[in-house]
Amino acid sequence: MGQTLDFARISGRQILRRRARLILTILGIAVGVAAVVAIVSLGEGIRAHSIEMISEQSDLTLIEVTGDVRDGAIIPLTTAKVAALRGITHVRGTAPVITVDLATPHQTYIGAVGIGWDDFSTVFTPDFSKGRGYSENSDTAVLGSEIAESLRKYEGIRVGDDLTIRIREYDASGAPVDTEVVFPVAGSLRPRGDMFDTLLVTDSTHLEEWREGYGVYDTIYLRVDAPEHVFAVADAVRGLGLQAQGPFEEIKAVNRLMDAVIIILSFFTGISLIVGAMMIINTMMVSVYERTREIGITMALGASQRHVLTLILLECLYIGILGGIAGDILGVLLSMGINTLGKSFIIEQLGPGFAGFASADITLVTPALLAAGLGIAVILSLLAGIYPGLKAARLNPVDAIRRGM
Amino acid sequence: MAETILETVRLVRTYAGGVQALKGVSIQVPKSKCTAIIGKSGSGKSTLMNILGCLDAPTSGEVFIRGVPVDYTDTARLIDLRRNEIGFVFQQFNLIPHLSAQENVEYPLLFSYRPEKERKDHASALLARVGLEHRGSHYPGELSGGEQQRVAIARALISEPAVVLADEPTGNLDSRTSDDILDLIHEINRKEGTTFLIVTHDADLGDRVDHQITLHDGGVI
Ligand SMILES: Nc1ncnc2c1ncn2[C@@H]1O[C@H](COP(=O)(O)OP(=O)(O)O)[C@@H](O)[C@H]1O
Ligand SMILES: [Mg+2]
Repeated sequence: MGQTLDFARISGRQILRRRARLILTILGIAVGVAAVVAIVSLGEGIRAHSIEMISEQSDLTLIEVTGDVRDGAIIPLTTAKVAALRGITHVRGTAPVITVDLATPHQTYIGAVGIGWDDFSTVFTPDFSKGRGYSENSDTAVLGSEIAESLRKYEGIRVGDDLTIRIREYDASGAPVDTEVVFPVAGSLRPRGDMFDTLLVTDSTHLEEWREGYGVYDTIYLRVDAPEHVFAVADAVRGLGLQAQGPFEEIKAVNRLMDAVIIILSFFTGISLIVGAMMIINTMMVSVYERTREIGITMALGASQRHVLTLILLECLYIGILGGIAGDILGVLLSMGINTLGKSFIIEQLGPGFAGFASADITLVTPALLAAGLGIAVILSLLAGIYPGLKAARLNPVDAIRRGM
Repeated sequence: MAETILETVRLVRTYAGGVQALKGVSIQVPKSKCTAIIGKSGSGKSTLMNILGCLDAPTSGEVFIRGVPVDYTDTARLIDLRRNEIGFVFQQFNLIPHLSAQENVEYPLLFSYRPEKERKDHASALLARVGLEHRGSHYPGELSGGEQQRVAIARALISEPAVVLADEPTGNLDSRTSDDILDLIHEINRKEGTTFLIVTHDADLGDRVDHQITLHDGGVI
């Protein structure tokens, strides 16, 4: 340990001997790192904005589970599956539903879903504009905002009224048999921006008899406790042989797209890193050449090849660390520049009314990005040091001492 | 006759170009004595020193250090010998320019993983020994030629080597300074019993050496 420190000190002194050259070499690698940091920060910023927009507009913690077809066999949604889904960690609620298409005697078509009231409450937290919820095992129903509005408009049905539904079935001879069923409307929901706006919701037992489908349920909705657990829960659901879908998949798509965009952009900016690495190779080659005699003496005094290589690589390590830090700083400045320019561009394009929209940063510099910038600089510098280092370590001490400058 | 610490047997060194720099050199260096190698330029003195210092390998022949034959194919062992059994003093002083005098003296111990305190104490004592106790923090560029060579002698002594090899240590010094350096070597040899092998064409060695070997055209005469 003490010895590592001694070596580190000696190497540190060595690179400080040629400060102008050191600074240029550091800048060489720093410019590359800065370009990558700035470009990736732009990509990450766009990613963060897109995800934020998706999050604001959609219900990320909702997962829609449906039966899957595996090897030609249908995996139905059974009560056992419901129990299994409820057992997944981070699942806060399950709402198994059945769906039925209904129509009024006046030919207003109504999609109806059957859900137990408690499940509906926990998974979808209904909010009423009028009235209240339906009760378990009853025939009362609640209406989504849009369907409530059209029933009021065209059929004069309001909360508290009875909604009559005509069910048409066919007898053995094929003749239609109509039955009328009454759903007292217990409440109407506030606009939610989801499927419930156009649906009638009631207890599932009441709809059961008109349902056509396989399995016990048509869909099971899951409520996950937090957005960050959704992907894990979705995987667990798929592990049960079921399909999991939901708005969260948009995030996956955005992530996949942005990953590709960022990789392609960093690849092109990364070319400047290669230039930086070549500068380090060049600097170290010159440095080894200038120090030929010194290296020979060091070997004559008992240093092994490994010691010489270590000393050279330590110098590269310093260049890498300093270049990485300088690159991170430059990258942050560059990213701030992109922000300022980008914002004024947006305001210019969209008018001052959009100034608020531009108040958020376009770029996003994360600690992981800065760490990656530093890491890339260090790894590249060490790689760049291998060839000059080996060249130094393989010097013949007699030649080196005699020939050295 | 004193114990022999370094010995060569029919040492031959032929360079790639076909030059035979050593043509079967057999010498013995007695322990705790000061031995001089003299000879004209090109007679093979440096070639011999490089082989003894384990920096170069002989074409044929054998070298014994403390009676043990040196295996010139065993790189790790050669490094070990350079580190522990050989001290080098060069004509051009060859101090590391960005290290202080004190650090230059400590430098070889860096490669044998000695603790810092031990290195520092030992180096300070040796600097005092060569009369430079107050110049430890100076850099080689700030020291005169004679002072640099004193630092180099202290550096050669730090690993307590079996033998100090000095290839024309006074070759770059004026005659008065040369005299001082040879006096210092002589004194260390007498007081500490350090074995020295010095290449020189100083005719004026006087009684400062115990034993003299003359090389001519790659052979001992
Ligand atoms: N690396 C080498 N390659 C070829 N010839 C060499 C090399 N080093 C020394 N010689 C030759 O070997 C002979 C002895 O050289 P050297 O040992 O340096 O003599 P000295 O130190 O006594 O002046 C000289 O002829 C010299 O030119
Ligand atoms: Mg010579």
